[in-house]
Amino acid sequence: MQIPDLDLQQPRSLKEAWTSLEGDASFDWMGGGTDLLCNYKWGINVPQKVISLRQTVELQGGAGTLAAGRTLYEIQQDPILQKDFPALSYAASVIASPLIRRTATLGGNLLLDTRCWHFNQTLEWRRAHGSCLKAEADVCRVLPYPGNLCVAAYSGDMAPVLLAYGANFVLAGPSGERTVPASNFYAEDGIRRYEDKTQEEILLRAELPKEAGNWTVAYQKLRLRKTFDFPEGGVAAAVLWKDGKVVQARLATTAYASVPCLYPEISASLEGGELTEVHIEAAAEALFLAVRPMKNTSMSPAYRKKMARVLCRRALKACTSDY
Amino acid sequence: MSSPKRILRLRVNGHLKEVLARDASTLLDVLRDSFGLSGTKRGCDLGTCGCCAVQVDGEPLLSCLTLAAEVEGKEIRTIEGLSGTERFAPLQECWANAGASQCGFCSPGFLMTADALLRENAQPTREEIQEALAGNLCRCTGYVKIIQAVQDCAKISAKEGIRE
Amino acid sequence: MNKFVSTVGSRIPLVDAPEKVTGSGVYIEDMKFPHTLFVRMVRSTISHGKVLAVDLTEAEKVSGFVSSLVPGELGTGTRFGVLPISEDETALPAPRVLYSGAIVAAVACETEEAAREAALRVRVEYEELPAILRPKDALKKTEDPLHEGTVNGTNIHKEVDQEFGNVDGAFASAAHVIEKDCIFDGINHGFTEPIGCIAVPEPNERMSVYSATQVPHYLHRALAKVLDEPMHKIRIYKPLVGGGFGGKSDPFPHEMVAALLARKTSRPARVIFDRDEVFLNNHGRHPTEYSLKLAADVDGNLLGLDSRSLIDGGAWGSFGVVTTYYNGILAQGPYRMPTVRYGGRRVYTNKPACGAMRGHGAVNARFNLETALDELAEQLDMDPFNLRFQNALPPNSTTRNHLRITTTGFVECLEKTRARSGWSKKFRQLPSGEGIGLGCGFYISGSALPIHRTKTPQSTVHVKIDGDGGVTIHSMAADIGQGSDTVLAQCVAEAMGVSMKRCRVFAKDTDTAPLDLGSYSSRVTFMAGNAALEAGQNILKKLQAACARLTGLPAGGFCRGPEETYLHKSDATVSVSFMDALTEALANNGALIAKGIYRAPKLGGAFKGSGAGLSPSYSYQAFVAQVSVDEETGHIRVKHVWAAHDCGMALNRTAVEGQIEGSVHMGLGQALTEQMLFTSGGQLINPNLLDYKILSPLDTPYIEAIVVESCDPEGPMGAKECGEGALAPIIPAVANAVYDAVGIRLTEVPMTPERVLKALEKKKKLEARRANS
Repeated sequence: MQIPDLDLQQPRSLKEAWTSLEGDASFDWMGGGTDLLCNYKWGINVPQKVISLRQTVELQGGAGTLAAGRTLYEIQQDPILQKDFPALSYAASVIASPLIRRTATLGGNLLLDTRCWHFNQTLEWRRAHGSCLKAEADVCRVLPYPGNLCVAAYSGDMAPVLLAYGANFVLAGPSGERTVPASNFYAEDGIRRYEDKTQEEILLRAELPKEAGNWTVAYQKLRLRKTFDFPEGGVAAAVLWKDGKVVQARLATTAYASVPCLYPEISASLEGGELTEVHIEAAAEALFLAVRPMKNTSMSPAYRKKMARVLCRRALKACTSDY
Repeated sequence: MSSPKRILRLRVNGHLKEVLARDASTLLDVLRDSFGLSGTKRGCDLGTCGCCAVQVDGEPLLSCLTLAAEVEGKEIRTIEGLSGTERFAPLQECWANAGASQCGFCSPGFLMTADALLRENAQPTREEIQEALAGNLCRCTGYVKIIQAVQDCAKISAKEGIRE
Repeated sequence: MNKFVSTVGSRIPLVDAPEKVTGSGVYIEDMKFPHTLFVRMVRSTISHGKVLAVDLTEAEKVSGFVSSLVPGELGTGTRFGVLPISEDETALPAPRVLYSGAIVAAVACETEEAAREAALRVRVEYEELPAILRPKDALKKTEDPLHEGTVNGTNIHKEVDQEFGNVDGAFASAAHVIEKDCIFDGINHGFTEPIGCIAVPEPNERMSVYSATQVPHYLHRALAKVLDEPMHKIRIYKPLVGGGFGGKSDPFPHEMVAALLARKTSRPARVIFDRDEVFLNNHGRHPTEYSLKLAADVDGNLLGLDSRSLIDGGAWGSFGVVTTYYNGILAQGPYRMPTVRYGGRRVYTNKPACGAMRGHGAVNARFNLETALDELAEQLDMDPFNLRFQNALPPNSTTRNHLRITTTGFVECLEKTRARSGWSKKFRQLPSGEGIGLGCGFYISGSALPIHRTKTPQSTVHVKIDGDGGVTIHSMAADIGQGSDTVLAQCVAEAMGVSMKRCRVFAKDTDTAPLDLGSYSSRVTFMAGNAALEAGQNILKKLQAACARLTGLPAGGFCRGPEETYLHKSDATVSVSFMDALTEALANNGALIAKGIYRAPKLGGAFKGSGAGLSPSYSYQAFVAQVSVDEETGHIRVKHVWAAHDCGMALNRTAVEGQIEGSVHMGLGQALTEQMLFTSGGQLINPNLLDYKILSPLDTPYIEAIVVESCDPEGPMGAKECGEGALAPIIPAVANAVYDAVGIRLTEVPMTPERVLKALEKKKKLEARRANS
């Protein structure tokens, strides 16, 4: 396979990055490129210009940081994260394969393009089958009625965990930096993907609230193999404990929609008391009812929906092991 | 439209060479086509088989998902450079003796990944080996003899007490 | 020791291991020729239809465009196929395309980029026809079958009906009848090396075709037919092949396209597939619906087997006739089966063709039989091992369907796996969610009946030795990673009493190699190995004669001694070194040459289809899998596998274990994760290695290969097959272990978490209903 012609830029600073945008060429920012380059090889939405952020200093960061340019391998191996935020290093460790994690970045995983088997195919395949909204056509092959949004699945593993920790994302644009709660960042549209991130804006890092270290967080991922596979469903649960009682809780999912989702109503139902089996089961049932997976990944929507219950139960149970 | 190209200065197996490559060329393309290093294999071309694994600054990477221009200034090591000036590296000898290669197509990628593992962790457990090799697929061996070869090599280096 | 030291049973690295571990080995994509054209296929966007027109206008405008091949051009419509009885494949549509992704046309350009661009610009006009995608629909009568020669105007490609003994009587008298209806998804070989070939026009109007193939000879024949040239005008060269497993054992359209384009342009034409194209080529394991009934008496003696298959063949015949027979014939051993009935149907559908894949024809049926036996054992309240012991085929017997059984290591396989797995302390005694299961098997060691009915030996091996003392072995057996070159070297070295290091195997080139049918049906060790042994022995005779001349002692008394010497039986002090003997043998004579041949003995009965499944020998297996089942998600985790396989004699222990371990790994993939998925329109959904899920090192359990030796009377030094039979038993072993763990009988393969969960839910409902009533 070959990546179609494109102009590669490798800015060393954010300033250089934006300078490289001059002209009106279409462009993508690229982290590690392990997902984007696959899409390009399949002729999917290939821009004229690719701006690799690998060497951009503002995206780099040392141990304990959540800089967008850190590789997933670094996140997985980071002793500070392992100690203080084990769910983050765990989530990183179950992404793709060890070889991919050496290149793939945290930023790339957070901004991972949505996936759908009508879309993640070769150009010839899409031609034969009929393309879709997200590539060269104006129809959705999953829900083929007019006017619907793209339902490709958001398939990052880091986002649900960061949502569970209550993280913020720090974005930089030519006119300055801003901080957005991760919970307000993603938009439920597999094409638009973000609420108000402009294309010029670059994700610099994730930041955790000061008290995040006091939370107990667990992540559960559904997949067929223990490696390679994107999540067919993923649930992160977070609990802030005090004297054996749940002060605050959060539940987040991935792969169940075109965005990673939070479920404030379900998690609120867990707050104020002990986390008993009954509470856990009720939350798991509520999550099962809430998720709406589509028929666009390898496992069936019905099964993935059922598994939301199991993943939720297991994630919450893992949180109770601290008490 | 002419395709965006550039001259790359790449250091591969200790030798610096200038090559002309498209911006969109992967490291795999350049190693195979411009350097003539065909030991690095194209299996799936999408990062899901590991046949194309090489080392960049000692880390195992997928050359099919790395743009060649991104590894300028780094030390690239391919299967052809694994044994240095020797005929075989100890790991290669263990590999051959254990029967870890059958058709051999996945071997270069596995060897580069396993060598990186042993450099980072000279005495890995069976589980650590499985984990480290979980980005490589082999369709012939069932991995038994591959894991055996890595263990054999670790044993030898423990006995000798040295590893370069 | 003053004796010849045999290498049989030792651990020998593959002779080509050095080039494989250093990356210097040359595979098809690594081969380069001057002035090469890059060929890219144009593939069908519809599942069934007629090609009305191919418009190249835009493609020809691409800079670097040189040539094209379109339907209707000479040779593109010539029928070929691996079996002479169903040559129904063509290089390009003639004029129908039969599946989405089939090759419709091809372009040849100066660069790969140009070829890709040009192919995308080719416009094909079709008259679309209704596609037949479900095998059920292919059984119906139609005005317009997909191929000529189908059964009674349907799309049935092959129909087999066999009956031995009074099956109905056996079932009527049976105390126990088990019924098993199972469904198997199609799977793909998944070799790591993509398919490719390069056709190179040679001077003297010859053509060399370099191809990643398992069957140079069949490719040779098919090319001769398509190019309409005598075979001697064509040369096949096989580089290192990155795995085959049956997936490189047909002559393929892309090979014909490359050759036709090379002839048309007088330039080398190179085809290297992308991974998705490999899947579109397929010829993988057939999707199959298999129903089986098993009858037994009150003591657990098997009385009869009655089975039916509906086999989804896809677009072409390929090996399908054989598949249809094997699904019945190979499901009977390794058990005594007094009565047998089998009805098999293989149908054409508008999907990529299916063909031979490791364990060809024996895998799916085996699942039904072995899971039925597990159920029978339970009904009888009998240990599954004991049921097998009781019904094991005896040595030196003939099966009801006329297969000749010589030695068998089946009982020893059972004994060894039972002991090593700790079966008696685990079966029905592990905690809930944990289980252990047994699956057995039986496979051919090469097909006794050659595909082409000629009197030519199935294998011929040439050996040449000159004054340098090197032993050159020529053969056309195809090493595809299984180590056949190593076996040939070992057989010759062993016969001659010299070190393997002297041997060099050239099994690549039809110009120099004598005919061999290639690497399929687990035939190489048995057949080419025997031929190599005979060639080595024939050389030995010449060396013995030389020893006699040198010593004045009779030639017949010289035998192999230690360290490449020949000793005389009557006088132990007489020792002639190999080099001395060789020098004498070469004097006034020149290079020594010898050959060896193998032809299978005449076997079998006189009924229709009696040739299928005949083999000079059979392998036997008994496997145990230990699993844990996640009852909430349905995930099966296989924790350990004990795999005992009777390989006759382990010529090379490392290689034998490697074959068993690899077979188990591939079988586990079919058992758990692998499936070819299609859209409702017949388009393959998962033609890549992310979505077609091969087990990784992290998903593969420890596989304990247990080598059992029964010393085959006809195999080379007692050896028989070990590369295919070891696949089938693991799938039912896992299913039976799942039953032991959680009490469900799975009937759909792969046993995905979703299917497991469905079965668990069904079981719970049933239990609840029972509790209520």
